[in-house]
Amino acid sequence: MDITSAKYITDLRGGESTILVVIDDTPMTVPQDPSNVHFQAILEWAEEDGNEIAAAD
Amino acid sequence: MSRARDIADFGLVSSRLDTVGGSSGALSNRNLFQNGACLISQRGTSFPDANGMTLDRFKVTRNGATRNVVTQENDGPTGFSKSLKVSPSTADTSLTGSDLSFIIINLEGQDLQQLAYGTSGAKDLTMSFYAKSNLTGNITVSNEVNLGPPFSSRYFTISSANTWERHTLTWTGNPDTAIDNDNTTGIEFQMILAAGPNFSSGTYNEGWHTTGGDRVRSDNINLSSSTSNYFQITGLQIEVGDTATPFEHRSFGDQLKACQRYFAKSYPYSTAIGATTGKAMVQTDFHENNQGAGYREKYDFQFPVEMRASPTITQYDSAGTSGKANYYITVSSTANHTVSIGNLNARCLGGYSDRSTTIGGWAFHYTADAEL
Repeated sequence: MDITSAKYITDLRGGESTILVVIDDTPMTVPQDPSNVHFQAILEWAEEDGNEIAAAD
Repeated sequence: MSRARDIADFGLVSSRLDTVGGSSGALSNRNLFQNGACLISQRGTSFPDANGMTLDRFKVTRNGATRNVVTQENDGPTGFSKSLKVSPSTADTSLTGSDLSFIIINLEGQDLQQLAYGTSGAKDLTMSFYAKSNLTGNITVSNEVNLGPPFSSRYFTISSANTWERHTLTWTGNPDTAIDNDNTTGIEFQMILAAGPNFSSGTYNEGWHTTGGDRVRSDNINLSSSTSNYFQITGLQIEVGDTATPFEHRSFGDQLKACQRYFAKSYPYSTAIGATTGKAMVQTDFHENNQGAGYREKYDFQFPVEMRASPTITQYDSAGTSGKANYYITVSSTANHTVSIGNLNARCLGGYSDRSTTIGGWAFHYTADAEL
């Protein structure tokens, strides 16, 4: 699983429950659900130096 | 039919029920695994460099220099029409370090509580399946509780090349480690097709243990030794108790629903993900009227079944471009637009359009991935 970018998405109620992430060159929407394996991978990716989940637009 | 014959037939049925019941398992729905007959493959039928999910519920993973092609084959032992086939695409004749190729089979923890792991009454677990390979030799299967440790391995031997053989492996219950009672992985089985010394250099151990290097037999086959090699499997059944009962066949529809707890798609079953088609896209109801500047069309869609967890969503427009959607202003639509996904949970996804674009409604295809 190769993550190259991640950015929070602001929903219509102003919350940030999902993350727009590019995994293996494919854009995906990942929920902030601890039992979602992609969310787990994003958290690990974000702990590495130089990686950060970008703020929502 | 005579009364004597009726009584005789009833006796036969009772005897068979006793056999199944004696295994401590259920009389029906015994298989704890979905898609054991390899019928369902929503993601496609060929996976050129497999390193993740392949046929539904079957993950094929590699590490180091090993590379594999995975296919769904129209081949199986008598009574089975499909199987999963692993073939190396790159030869790795001398495995080193953490080189690894293996099939992963995950079971949800909340579905395994009847095993009573972590208690003195922990029950045995039996895996049975049909396998075929051009290689003969031993293949290790590691059982890992809550993704491990603890580990406990078993192995089976392919005795006759290019021949379907049935194998049965039984693990004793683990009285020390309880399986997490939730929707995460309770037990992971790893069927080892090639393993470097980091996994096989220790003393192969069938008891419950915590040393990763003791998981794999040193004489495990190396499927990666030649691109001419292959390994096939089908009829996989995992059941409570120490007895392997006959494979419990279930309908395509039943199996598809069971698999959709972990992966679903909007495309028709036989349509490839990312295909150029607008058929069966999820779409908003009202898409023939331009709603004007600043309007955001929001809509929620339910998944076919409640999923294991909130899934990861990948969108596709009608041109097959990932991350994109179609916008309607009139009855026709154009591709390559943006729909953001919010309100995402195990039951539904909600999407909303870009405020800066004039729109009447939108549509897209999706895959929803809640695999373990």
